[in-house]
Amino acid sequence: MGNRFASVTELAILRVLRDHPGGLYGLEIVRASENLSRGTVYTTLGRMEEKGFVRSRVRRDEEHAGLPRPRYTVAALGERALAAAEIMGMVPAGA
Amino acid sequence: MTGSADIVHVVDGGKIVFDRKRLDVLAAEVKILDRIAQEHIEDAVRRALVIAEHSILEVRKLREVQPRVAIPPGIRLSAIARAVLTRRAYRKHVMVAVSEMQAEYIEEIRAGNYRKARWVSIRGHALILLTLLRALLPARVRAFLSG
Repeated sequence: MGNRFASVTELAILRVLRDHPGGLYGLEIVRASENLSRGTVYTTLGRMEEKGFVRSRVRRDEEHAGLPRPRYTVAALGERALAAAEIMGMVPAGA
Repeated sequence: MTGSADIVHVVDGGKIVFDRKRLDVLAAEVKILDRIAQEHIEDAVRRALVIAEHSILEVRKLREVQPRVAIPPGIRLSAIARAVLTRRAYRKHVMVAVSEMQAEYIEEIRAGNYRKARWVSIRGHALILLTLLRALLPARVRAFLSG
């Protein structure tokens, strides 16, 4: 595993996910964020899951016709990382 | 008085006299109407045959067009990725990108935006290919690139 600290992109994704407690799909994160591209979000989400910042769950009963689509929520570690970053002024709080 | 050319019918004791000339005229009129009706019937049958022939041709054309089953894009690429990557790497790097592209594609198709759906498919394939190449890189190189 590489850097255990949250990067700026990871913090931006965490902030979006914190605003949606029900969880979001990758595409919804892209749409909810201001300047994150699809490629960045999908790659970063995989890394964040490995670090334990986010949790993903695949719902079997949804009407999605393609491959299983994971829905992401913030994990406890992610919330702590985001709170720490906000205290340190790394991301504007509530932005 | 009745003329020799007239036709006389006796009905219930009463006489009915038909004028022969008038009857001939009526018979001629009936013949003309009969011929007109026959021509109309023949014309209607001819038209019906033409319509039926066209319908058969249309049905044949429809049969020639094979039905297509629309599958979400990215299935082949996903299968290639599953073959070359480990299960964990596939789930982490490729599956999310493919499933999200499929969701966006289906969303656009449902909205009737076929051109945009096509664009989503092309862009998605490019992204998945990049993700696949990235996933094939050694972990150290990947960590260096992601900072």
